[in-house]
Amino acid sequence: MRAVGWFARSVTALVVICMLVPLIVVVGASLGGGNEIAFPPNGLSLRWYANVFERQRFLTAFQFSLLLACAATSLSLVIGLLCSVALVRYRFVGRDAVANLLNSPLMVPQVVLGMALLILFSQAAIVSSLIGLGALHLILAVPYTVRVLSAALVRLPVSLEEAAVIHGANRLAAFAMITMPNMKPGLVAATMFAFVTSFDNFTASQFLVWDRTTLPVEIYAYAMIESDPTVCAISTMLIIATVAIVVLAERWVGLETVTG
Amino acid sequence: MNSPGSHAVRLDRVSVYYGDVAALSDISLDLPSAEILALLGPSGCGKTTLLRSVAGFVPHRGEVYIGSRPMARVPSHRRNIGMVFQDYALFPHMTVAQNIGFGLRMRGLERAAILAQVAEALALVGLEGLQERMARQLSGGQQQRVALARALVIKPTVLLLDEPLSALDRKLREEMRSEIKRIQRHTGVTTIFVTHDQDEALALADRLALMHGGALLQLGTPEEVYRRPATPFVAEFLGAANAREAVCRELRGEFALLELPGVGMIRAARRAVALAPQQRVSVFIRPERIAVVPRATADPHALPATVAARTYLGRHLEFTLRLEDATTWIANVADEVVASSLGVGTPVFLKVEPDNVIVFAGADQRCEPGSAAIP
Repeated sequence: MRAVGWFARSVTALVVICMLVPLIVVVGASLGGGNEIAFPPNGLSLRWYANVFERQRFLTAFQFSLLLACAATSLSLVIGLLCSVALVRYRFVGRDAVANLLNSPLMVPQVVLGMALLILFSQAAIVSSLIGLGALHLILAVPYTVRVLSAALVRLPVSLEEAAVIHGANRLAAFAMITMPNMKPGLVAATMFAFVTSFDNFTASQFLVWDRTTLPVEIYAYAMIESDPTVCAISTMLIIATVAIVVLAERWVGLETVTG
Repeated sequence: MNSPGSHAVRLDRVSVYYGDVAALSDISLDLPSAEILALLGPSGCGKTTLLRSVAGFVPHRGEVYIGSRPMARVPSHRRNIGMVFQDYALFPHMTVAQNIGFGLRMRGLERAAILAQVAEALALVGLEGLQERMARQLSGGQQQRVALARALVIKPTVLLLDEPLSALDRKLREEMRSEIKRIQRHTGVTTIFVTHDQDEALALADRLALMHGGALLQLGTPEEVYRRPATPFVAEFLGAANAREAVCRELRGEFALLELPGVGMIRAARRAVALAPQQRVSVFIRPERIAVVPRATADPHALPATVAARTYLGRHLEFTLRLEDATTWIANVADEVVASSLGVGTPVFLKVEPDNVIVFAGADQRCEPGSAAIP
């Protein structure tokens, strides 16, 4: 028993270290004073952070990524909520087929998905980053929201909604007043998954950049030309933002309910 | 409110099909105002489906009337029904007061009026002062009472209870059983409740509907159903019964003389079934209706037997009795003085009053449906 505990703890420690080391390297390198990415950094400085804010292209890309992520998240939540109600609460012909179809974007390689949408939108002469990337990110986020919200809905007894209905609430009011508040952890988790899926996507997104570009694509473009630690500085800021969001979610609904 | 004697709930040929399978077939019944109806039967008999048809939760054929209004076009939330669910279904994110006041809020009452009625409902179920507690912090018995208060506070035309006591332990169950009866008598609300527990059904119900395989086998007062079961299934489901095939040998005035092959002769009252000599019948006798006496005085209508085993059960002694053909019957004897004289191996006579012999014509055949009607 003790041997197992010791072994399990060592493996856990190893995994945590393997996950943290790249992050430490990125954060360390971002603080470097030299012109090259180096770890440990030679000299401490915040000049690469300053450089990020001096370059308008990063700010523009960040704003666009934020807009895309918010749009894709809210739309995918609405679609995910409607789909999970249909899939969990009703039995209909082709239910399994619909469930599989909603999961299929996760099975297709992102390069293929990006290419396919590129061809589709080019043929249709729709050359807007907002429409193209918006569609792509929605396609990528919906499988997550459907899955997370379905799991949340399955755990809620139908009798809760029936109790609301029999005592005088119509179906919609029962859903809004009883079901939705009790799905809060699921809604928070779905929001986080959808947002991160959209905000982080690079592989498929690079095919659909026309008039405006996203932050990951912009970072990639910068790193192709320059080799200074600016990209490390951006990455560090993204890490901090992510940690902040996770901590807030934890405070609000409890992390185990979000991830579990 | 309905005037006394009027029908609060009426079902007219209600059927529910899941695909080709009938979960309910052709149920018709009337429930007078202010009465408690128990829907009793084994699991899968359709009792919950029947309750849910009244609530409007399952699509069905036939018509449900509440008061005198047909409910076909009335959605569940406008039926003015109060309902207690098997898992109570309290809203976990709300306080006790918000839970109970939910129906009033949906009816657009003012906040002050809601608070006053919630307090009144809490007092009715004996939970004064728990308004601000969260529903999930309550014990099982308290949750039950809150669920009951939530259902009653809207002054429903009908109260539906779906296995309301099944989640409670035995002691609490008996306490809540009398609580529900007290509250129902106090409010006078017409009540339908589903149970698979026959003690619960007998104790609570004014009328008892015994269901099996989606059909209503018998509807009557608990006493009627227990004493005059309409079918062999009812006889065996409600209360224990010793079952036996027999042949009618002779009709003598009010009695029929029945021969239990290899066992002996007994007399049965002729009232329930039309009997003819030589007819094959099924006989059911309740264990508590058998008198076990020492084999002293000869009696042509007593069945000879020997005591095979005896079990002390507190309220009574349960005797296992071996009949002449080596089959066994169970008899419950409450009189400890009589019981103590009957050790294992004692030869005894079994006597049954003719009125306590339940007879069905034919082997395992249902009685005429007329006996299932409320007088």
